[in-house]
Amino acid sequence: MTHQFKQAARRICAQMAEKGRDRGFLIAFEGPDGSGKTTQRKLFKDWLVAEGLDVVTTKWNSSPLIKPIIKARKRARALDEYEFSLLHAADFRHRLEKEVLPALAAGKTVIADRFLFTALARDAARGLPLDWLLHVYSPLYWPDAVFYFSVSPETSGRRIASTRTPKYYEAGQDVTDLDDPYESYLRFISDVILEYEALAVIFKFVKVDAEKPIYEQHVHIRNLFANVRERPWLKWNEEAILDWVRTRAGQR
Amino acid sequence: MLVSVDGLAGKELIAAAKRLLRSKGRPDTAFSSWDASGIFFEIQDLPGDDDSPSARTLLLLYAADLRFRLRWEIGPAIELGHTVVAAPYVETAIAFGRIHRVSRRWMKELFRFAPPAKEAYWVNVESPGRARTTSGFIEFCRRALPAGFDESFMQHFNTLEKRGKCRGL
Repeated sequence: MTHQFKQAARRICAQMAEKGRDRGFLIAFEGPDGSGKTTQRKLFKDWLVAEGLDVVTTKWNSSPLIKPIIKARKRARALDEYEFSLLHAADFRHRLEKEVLPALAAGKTVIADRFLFTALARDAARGLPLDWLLHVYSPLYWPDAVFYFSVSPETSGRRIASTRTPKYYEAGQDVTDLDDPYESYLRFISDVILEYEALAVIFKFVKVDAEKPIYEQHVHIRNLFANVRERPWLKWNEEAILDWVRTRAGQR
Repeated sequence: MLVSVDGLAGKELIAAAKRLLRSKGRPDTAFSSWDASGIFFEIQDLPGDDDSPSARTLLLLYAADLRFRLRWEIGPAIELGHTVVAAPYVETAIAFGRIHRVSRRWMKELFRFAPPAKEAYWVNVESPGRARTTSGFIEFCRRALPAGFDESFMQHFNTLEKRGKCRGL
C-alpha cells in the first residue's frame, strides 16, 4: 500500500511538471517577537504581488478549528508546556494540510509568518526535548527558504515594551515564575534566541540583521530571494507529501 | 496504580471502567475519562470533508487532552496512592492511528509523556452507529473513519491480547 501512495505522490509531481507549472515556493519568516518579521513579511508580500505572483500568507496559530481552543486556554493560563506544544502542533498540522500544501500544489507562493521552527525554539526554551518536538512535528516539511530575523534580547524587549505589555505565555511566565512580565520576557526571549541561533546553524537559515533599518532589510530580502531555488519536492519532502496524499485519499 | 481501559464505544468504556472500579473493592479509587479538558467539546463536530482534520491532527488533540488528564486527574490521584482507571488511555488512540496508517513509531513518541498502565484492559463492544459525537473519541471521529473500521479496531486489540499486553473485559 505504501508503494501505491508513493506512486500517487510521484504521479502528482509528474503531472505538475507535464503541465509546465512548477509548484509554488514556500518562504518562512522566523525570528523572536519584536524582530520586525511581520513588517518585512507584509512588504515582501506586496512586492511579490507587484511582481505578478499569486501569494498566500499563513500565520502562526491561525487555523479556524484550533485557534479558539488555544486562545481560551492561554487566557485562562491553563496550559503546561506539553499541552502548549501539542495544541500548536495540531494547529500547524491542520494549516499545513489544508492551506499550505494545497496552495503550493496549485503553484502559489506561500509566505509563512512563523513556521515549525517557532515551535522548536519556544518549546525547547520551555524545556521540552528537541528530539520529541521533531517527532511531534514530523513528517517535517522543509520550506524553500527560511529568513531568520536576528535581534538581541534587549532590542526585542525594547520593541515589545514600546507597544504592549507581554502576555503571560509570550513572556514565558509559565516557566520563569517571575511576576514582572518585562523581566520574565527578557529572560525567556534570551533562551528562545539561543535556541533560534542553534536552529539557524543546523537548518541553514538565511540570516537577516533585524537591527538594520526597515527598508535596508527589505532590499536585502529581495536580493536574497532572487537566489532562492526550489528544494526538489520528492528529495526533501517525500515523507510529508506522502502523508498528505494519504490523508487526502483517506478523506475521499 | 494506573489501570487503562480502551476500546471503541465511549459509553461502554465508562460503564466497564466503573464495574472495574467496583470490583477492585477499594474506596481510594479514581476515574479519568476522555475529553476532561473540553478540547473536543469545544470543537463540537468535525467540519465537512475539505476542512476535516487529518488523523494525525486528531491524534495531536487527543494527546493534548490526555496530557491534561494526566496533570489534573491521573497524576494527582496516583500521588495520593489511589488506583486510577483511565478510560480510554493511549491504546484507543493508537488503534485509531493504525487504521489511518499513521506510523507506530510516531505515535509511540507522541505519547512518550504518558506512563505505562500497570494493568491494561479493552472492552470488546462495537460502537453503536448513532452514538453522539460527545460519547467518546471514536464516536467523535466517526466521520473520519473508513467503512468497516470496527473490524480493524477489534483486530488490533485481539492481537494485543494474544501478546499478553491487555485483557478483554
